[in-house]
Amino acid sequence: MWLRFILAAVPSVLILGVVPWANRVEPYVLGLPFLLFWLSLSIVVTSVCMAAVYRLDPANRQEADR
Amino acid sequence: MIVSLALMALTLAVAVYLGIRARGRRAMSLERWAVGDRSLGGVFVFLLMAGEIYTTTTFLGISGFVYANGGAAYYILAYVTLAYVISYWLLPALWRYAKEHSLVSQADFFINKYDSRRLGVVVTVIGVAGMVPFLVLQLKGLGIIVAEASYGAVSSSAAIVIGGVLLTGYVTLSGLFAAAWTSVVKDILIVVVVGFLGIYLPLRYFGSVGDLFAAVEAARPRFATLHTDDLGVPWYISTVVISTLGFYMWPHLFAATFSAREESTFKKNAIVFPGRS
Repeated sequence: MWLRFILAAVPSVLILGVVPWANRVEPYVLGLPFLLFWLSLSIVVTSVCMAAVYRLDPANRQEADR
Repeated sequence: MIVSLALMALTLAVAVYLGIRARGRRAMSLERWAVGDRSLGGVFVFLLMAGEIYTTTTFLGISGFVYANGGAAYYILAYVTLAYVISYWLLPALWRYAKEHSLVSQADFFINKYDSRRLGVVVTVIGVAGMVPFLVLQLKGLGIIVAEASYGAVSSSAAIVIGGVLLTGYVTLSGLFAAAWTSVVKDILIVVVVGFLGIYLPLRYFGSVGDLFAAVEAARPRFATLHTDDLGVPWYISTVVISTLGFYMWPHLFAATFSAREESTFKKNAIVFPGRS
């Protein structure tokens, strides 16, 4: 039940919490400086988290049943 | 010069045509004008919101900011993404309340919800006060872009007057539908142009995206990170938090919410939107 709220907190942790440690140029990943790569990855993870939240949200299940 | 002028004229003509056509044949009511009869499907809401989020600033302001400050510009990616997370819970609740009470504006919401006309007035005044610099920025940007792209043939002031008059005209005629339809054109153009520049420029001038960033690093070490004291990590975190929380306070974003046909739209958009930015 609490899983979706934990999932919803993941983007904030990645985008705000981890950035002090991700604030660096090396290593380059996919040609991107590490910080830019980290934020790009966080954005992708955010989409995945929100998709999971959507599936777990009981409000959406009722809607599908109707 | 002729080519760029023709392209700008064509884009403008298409936008004005769509803006006027968007009125449709049905009689206009306040609800239809302000929130599109609450009839917009998912794709339209997506495009409308995207149109209202990605603006002149996306092209001119942010690229200038990146050029001057480097990695600090990532804060924009960050707050927009976090705002979408909030939108999953915030927008459906707003939408439901607005529908139940037939609200058409942000001020309406505060008047109804807190049963206070005065609060509505305060919200409106703050909204307008916030909107003025926002619009000045957009119009100023429009002027610069047109003046540059026409090689000075159309002056910045002329562009602002033409753009401002036409925009006010079709929005007065068609209301929210005009904004939604012109967003379609704008969105396609933005994606094409950003995609082209983001792929073509690094390949043409540096060989690859990696080489581009390596060249930046060689010229200005640590430029692609939060590298200055003024725009460092504390600045980044506080700015992202405040921009995220303030995101849906914009009167236009707040009220655009009301135009959706169903609330699940916002939940689905919260999944798709982060990928877009």
